[in-house]
Amino acid sequence: MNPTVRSKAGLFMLEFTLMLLIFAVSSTVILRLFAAADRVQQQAEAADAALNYAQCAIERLKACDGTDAALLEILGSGDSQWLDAGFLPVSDPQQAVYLARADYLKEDSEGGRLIEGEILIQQAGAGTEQPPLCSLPFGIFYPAERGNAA
Amino acid sequence: MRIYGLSIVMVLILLCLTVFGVLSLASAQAERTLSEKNAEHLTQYALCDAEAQRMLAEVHAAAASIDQPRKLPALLDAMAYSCTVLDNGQVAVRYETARQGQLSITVELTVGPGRDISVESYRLNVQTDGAVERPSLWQG
Repeated sequence: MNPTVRSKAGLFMLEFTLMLLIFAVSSTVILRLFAAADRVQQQAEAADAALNYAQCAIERLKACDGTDAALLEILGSGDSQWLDAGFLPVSDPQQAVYLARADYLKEDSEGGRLIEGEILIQQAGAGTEQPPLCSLPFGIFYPAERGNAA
Repeated sequence: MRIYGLSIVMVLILLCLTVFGVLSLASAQAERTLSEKNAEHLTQYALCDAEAQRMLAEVHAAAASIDQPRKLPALLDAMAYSCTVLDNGQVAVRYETARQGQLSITVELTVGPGRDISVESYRLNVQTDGAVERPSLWQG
């Protein structure tokens, strides 16, 4: 074989391999970029949804009459509630994606009832050392005139 | 010659995809920043609201604890609430919560002779520290 032709074929192979290598590396980088973007967007969406749920819970608390039964219905038994992916309450913890906890204190006086606390929303199964998706403080006063004091 | 043409096309495609990937990541980051700012703003509002409700509870407790309505202004004054006795015998109370970031809430309420309390205004204030200048109106 002509040595010039052999060297040309070798050069072609080298060039082709180099091109494939560049293509492989670039594809990996691009895929990682898209994956990172998707992950960040999902985190933002989860945080927004968690905040929305916490706000809805607070609005529901404001609208209720402030009795123990009403608080229990909204905040759940044991001050926590299991939620599905759509932030709707589920009775079975196995189906839950999120856990909403409401740490609150009741303060009853002649004027009415004040409840103060914080709603925390966490990924189900995430340990307590994990930061919650959202934490929203609240304070709601139910005047005694409405007949809902302690 | 053909391999060069292919290389150029491939490099262009990779370049385009990289640009789209970076733009997508930047957009997602911006969305997350917006989400964090929204959460911060809502937390500040919630803290102000909680404090306003606590103060409302204090006024209700004060009104419920006295036997005669005329004692209320002195009691509320002692509790550092700003109050005025109106001509019709009602007591107007006004308070503002501590500032959380740029937000605070101002509440105005009236206490009637029968110690009935009605909230007249529950207003959110946004302070800008003069950082945002209000443009003057064009006078023509």
